[in-house]
Amino acid sequence: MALPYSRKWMAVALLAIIIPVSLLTTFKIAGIVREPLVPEIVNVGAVVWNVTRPESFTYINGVVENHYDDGLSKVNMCAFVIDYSEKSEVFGEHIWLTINATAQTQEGFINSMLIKLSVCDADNFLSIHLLSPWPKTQNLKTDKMVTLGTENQDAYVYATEIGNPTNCYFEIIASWHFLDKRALDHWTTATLETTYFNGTAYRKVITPVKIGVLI
Amino acid sequence: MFAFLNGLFFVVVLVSALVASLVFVPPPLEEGVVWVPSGLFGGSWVLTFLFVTLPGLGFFGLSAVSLSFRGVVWGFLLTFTPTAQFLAALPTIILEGEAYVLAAVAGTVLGLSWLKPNWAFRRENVSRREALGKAFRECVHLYVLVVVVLFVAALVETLTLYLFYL
Repeated sequence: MALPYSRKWMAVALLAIIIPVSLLTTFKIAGIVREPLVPEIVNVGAVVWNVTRPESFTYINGVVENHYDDGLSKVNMCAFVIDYSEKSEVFGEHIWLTINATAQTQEGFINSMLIKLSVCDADNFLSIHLLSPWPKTQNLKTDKMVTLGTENQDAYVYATEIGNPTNCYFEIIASWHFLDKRALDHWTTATLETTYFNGTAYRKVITPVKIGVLI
Repeated sequence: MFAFLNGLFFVVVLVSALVASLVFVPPPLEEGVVWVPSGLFGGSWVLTFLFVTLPGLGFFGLSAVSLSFRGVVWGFLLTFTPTAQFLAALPTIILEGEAYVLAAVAGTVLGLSWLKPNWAFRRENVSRREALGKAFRECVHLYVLVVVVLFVAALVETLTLYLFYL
């Protein structure tokens, strides 16, 4: 079979590209084919909590919570500071903590949740652990993660929705390690970013919690 | 056939984009997606051969089906692309689309050549064996064009990325 050499068929072939592509471009520019929606950002004030650095192994059991409620949608974040170990062959001097979050909306759906941990100085670092059953999710699936948090990069786990849910649960476990031989105060910020669709627009709610371990 | 498959692919992309826009909620805007230049690496024409041309060898209509499926996927992907990115990527979309259409033509010709040689080579009185051999030779010529077009598409895509994110 010969390729269509005739001018007529080449013109038809060209029109077969030009017409649909032109229509698609026109619809895109006109907004008939919709664009991604820019989410409204809501920054919730940080809740600050601190503890004096223990001398030896201690169950701290500290609970730090932050929440957001606009009447139709709620976001709750809870950081649970479990214990402190002075020395460990594997982990060194460290604190264990879990961060859990719930999100609910009466209209629309929850799109994604991200839990981020950051430190601001060089003498400590964070590690998010993938120990069963963590990360725990309900109506979410983990999508991306960076498990090591240092002065130069944040540790985070990002989870996206399954089936346009109206409520979600997300929990991670992490260890916070100190390298300074009890010389400095340390702070970490755990931030929850919840993106939800309220029926007309997206909203990204940022709820931070600051945890300090002080000399 | 070339004109028909061209129309089929790009109309399917258009219709899929419209349907997706009507049915699905747009996602929230995230940071720009980095497009991977697919034609620079040898693997992409291999995948095109495996998924677009080779099915046509089994049955000639399958290449058009595979091409349509690609069109649907592209339509869905392009739907919620920001307009600026869509316009920047348009030359790449057209070039890559053409490469897939050429691959589908090759697959359809291969399938017709052993199933209905008279349809594939109308003005010639050829046996199935001769028709298949001739179709394979044409397929090779078409695939030279496919590789070149995919390579050019990747170059255009890389240049677009460079200029867009400069």
